[in-house]
Amino acid sequence: MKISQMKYDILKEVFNIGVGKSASMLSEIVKKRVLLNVPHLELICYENGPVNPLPEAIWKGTLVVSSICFRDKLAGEANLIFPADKMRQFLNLCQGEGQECYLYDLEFDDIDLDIIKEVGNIVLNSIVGELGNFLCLELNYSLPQVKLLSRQEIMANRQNQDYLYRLVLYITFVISDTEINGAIIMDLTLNSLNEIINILDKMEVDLYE
Amino acid sequence: MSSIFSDILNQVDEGIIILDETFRILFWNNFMEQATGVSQDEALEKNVLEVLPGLNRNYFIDSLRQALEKDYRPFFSAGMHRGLITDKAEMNVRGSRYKNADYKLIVIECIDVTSQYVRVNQLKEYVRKLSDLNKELREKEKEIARLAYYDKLTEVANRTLFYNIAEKFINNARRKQEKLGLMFIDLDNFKCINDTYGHKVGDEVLVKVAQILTKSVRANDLVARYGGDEFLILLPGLSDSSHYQKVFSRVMDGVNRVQIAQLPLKVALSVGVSIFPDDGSTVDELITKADRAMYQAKSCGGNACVSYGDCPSGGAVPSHILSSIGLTD
Repeated sequence: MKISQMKYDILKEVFNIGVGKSASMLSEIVKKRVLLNVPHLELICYENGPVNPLPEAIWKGTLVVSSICFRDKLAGEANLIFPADKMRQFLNLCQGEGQECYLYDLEFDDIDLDIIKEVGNIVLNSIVGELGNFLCLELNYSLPQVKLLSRQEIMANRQNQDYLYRLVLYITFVISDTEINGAIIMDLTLNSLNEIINILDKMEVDLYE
Repeated sequence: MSSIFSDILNQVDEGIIILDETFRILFWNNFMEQATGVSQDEALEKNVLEVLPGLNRNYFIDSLRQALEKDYRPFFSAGMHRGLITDKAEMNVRGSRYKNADYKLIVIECIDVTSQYVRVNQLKEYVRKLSDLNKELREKEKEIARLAYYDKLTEVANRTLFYNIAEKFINNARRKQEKLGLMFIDLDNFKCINDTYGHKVGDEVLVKVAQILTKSVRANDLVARYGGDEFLILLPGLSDSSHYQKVFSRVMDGVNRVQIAQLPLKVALSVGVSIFPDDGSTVDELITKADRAMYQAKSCGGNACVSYGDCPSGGAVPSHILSSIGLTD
């Protein structure tokens, strides 16, 4: 399934509203300036075999994945992904820790994992919630989960074989002037994608009328 | 709420608060009583923001509203929100909605993670101690390496380091077809200084001389203490065989100004020079030739620099004596 550039732009706008809301909430929580935006969006189809959207050069080593599932009319799973070292940097900024950090980049304690869970929950709920608003659907969300995975595991980690489509949102997090790049991978069923496309079609028609 | 469910919720090992749509507390379990010191009687029917003022923040209120309206499931970590529920314990807070045809409720779960904090803090303290210990060991390793390769008194290279580097310099000079100079420096009348002023002053003289030698050479040259009052200097990449004269001149400038504790002592040096490949092809050969040239300088009264190449065979008085005081060709 292919979607037009116009539809990509509309979706990007919807997601930018979502991340904007989460950025404002995170700013309030960490008491620091937080900016979030989605500069780029991709739709990947699994019909013709596995595809890994994350370029190996950037997404190497351990990745920190925070996930929520959503059900009802729109079904899928949303994952917020950061390279572990970037996540460590983000956590240090969130907790206001100084330069002296005795833990190695890839080590996360229970407190860190809870913070990641919270941040993931805020960002993913905002994005999925905004998509739900856009489609005028009420969704049912699961509790967030945090995992440490490799790039290959993320590719194989598609929870449900019904999730045929992957929406990949490359996001940029700016916290206290430090830029941290991550991604959101949203696995969707064919029906869910159709639901989104139908709405986008209607919007496109309205636009040209 | 039926008594059986209420009893069950009172038994669970986490705080449970149930709110109505106006955030009024409908249920407050035993765990919450113990954690906050607020009894059920005090909490029930009151607004949760009044009973738990830590929750009275925009983002928390917005999250509860979204939970009610959109089934959003808020989660707040103790790591980001200290004292959200109570100052006595660290708690993660989770929210969810229960809805039927007539009403909506919010269930707030407060999970005590204080023990995690204690464990993590212990771990951090342990890692910190290990890190400090590691740092200390690294410093000691550096010190051991320094002692192995540097002279403890003068802090210039010792014999071991000199031989290691000299071999490399010779190989390099051979490969690049360059000249390598070796200066053999011996303090004149050092025994007399020791006998007259004591070994402490003698040591001070050695330290001063080592500092002067180090300041007089280029960054890539090597100054080493060969033993007693003898020093060696390696001058790699010698563009001109007479380059050592400039070094000697700088050394003499420094030595002439040496003053130790207002004592009327005068420091003087005798220097012999050998050049690779002209005077020898091994380190020992170069040292022997430079040593011989140094004795030529000494035999002429000292405080002079003689190149082995300028020594007549048989050890006669050198034809070329540089910067000598009172000694000319």
